[in-house]
Amino acid sequence: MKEKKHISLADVKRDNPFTVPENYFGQFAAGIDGQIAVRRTPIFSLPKRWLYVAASVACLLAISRAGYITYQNDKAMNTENYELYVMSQVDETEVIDYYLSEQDSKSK
Amino acid sequence: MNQTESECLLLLNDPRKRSQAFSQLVRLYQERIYWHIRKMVLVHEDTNDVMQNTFMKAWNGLDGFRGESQFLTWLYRIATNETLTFLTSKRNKEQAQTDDRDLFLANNLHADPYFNGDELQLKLQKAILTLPEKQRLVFNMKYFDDLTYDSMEEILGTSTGALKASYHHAVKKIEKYFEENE
Repeated sequence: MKEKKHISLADVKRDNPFTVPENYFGQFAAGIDGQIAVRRTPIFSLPKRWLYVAASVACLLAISRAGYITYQNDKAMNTENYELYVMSQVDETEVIDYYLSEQDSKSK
Repeated sequence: MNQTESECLLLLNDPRKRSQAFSQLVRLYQERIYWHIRKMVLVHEDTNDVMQNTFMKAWNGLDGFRGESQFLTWLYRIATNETLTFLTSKRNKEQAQTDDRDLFLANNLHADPYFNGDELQLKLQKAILTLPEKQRLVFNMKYFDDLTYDSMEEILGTSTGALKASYHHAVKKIEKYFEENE
């Protein structure tokens, strides 16, 4: 009886068993062209180092401006609070008395 | 490095001609990259997705290409990483069991209109899927693409000795699979 022969790698056809849709590669390349056209590098492009410097300066300016505005607001608030404090310390009747006595002295 | 590649690489440094040069390089190498990915993921649609990611990553990372290796080798490296990432996410989605490795990838190969292989070729694909991922890469690159061990060393970052051993083990495992699944 003939012994059954085992399959070996050499028995398998070595050609590519896979295929692609018709004109796939032409369409793929055109698709990539379309995508890179959208994200095209601008003709005028600054070196990266200068972009980092510009970003840092812009960041510093923004922080300084925010700090200055906060300082101005605090200052205005303090002045307003001081005026309110002074007013709260003065008695209304005393102000009226003072006003009337001033009027009296003028009429004399 | 062939003349077309070296001309394209020079043009890549000119911002006005960069996209034109890259487009040429895509046309020059897309088929090799496609087959490299396809033999790992098997399905055309998946291959197409991984190809898109590969070339867009290459375009966005052109500044990272320093010309120390060939452009094709660099593309192979990106494609390999993208393929392995894709396979990991696909495996997670399929919740594949570790003992059947990536055999689920061959499930639809019978009905795939873009697979023209005979029974033995289908069996070979299934046998390849039983190999560990890296061994599969090595087997495909050597057996189908006939890449030199030196090129494979550059792409995969593995020594020639280890690659030779890996290929040898892969062949043994495939023949054992044939024997057990006759």
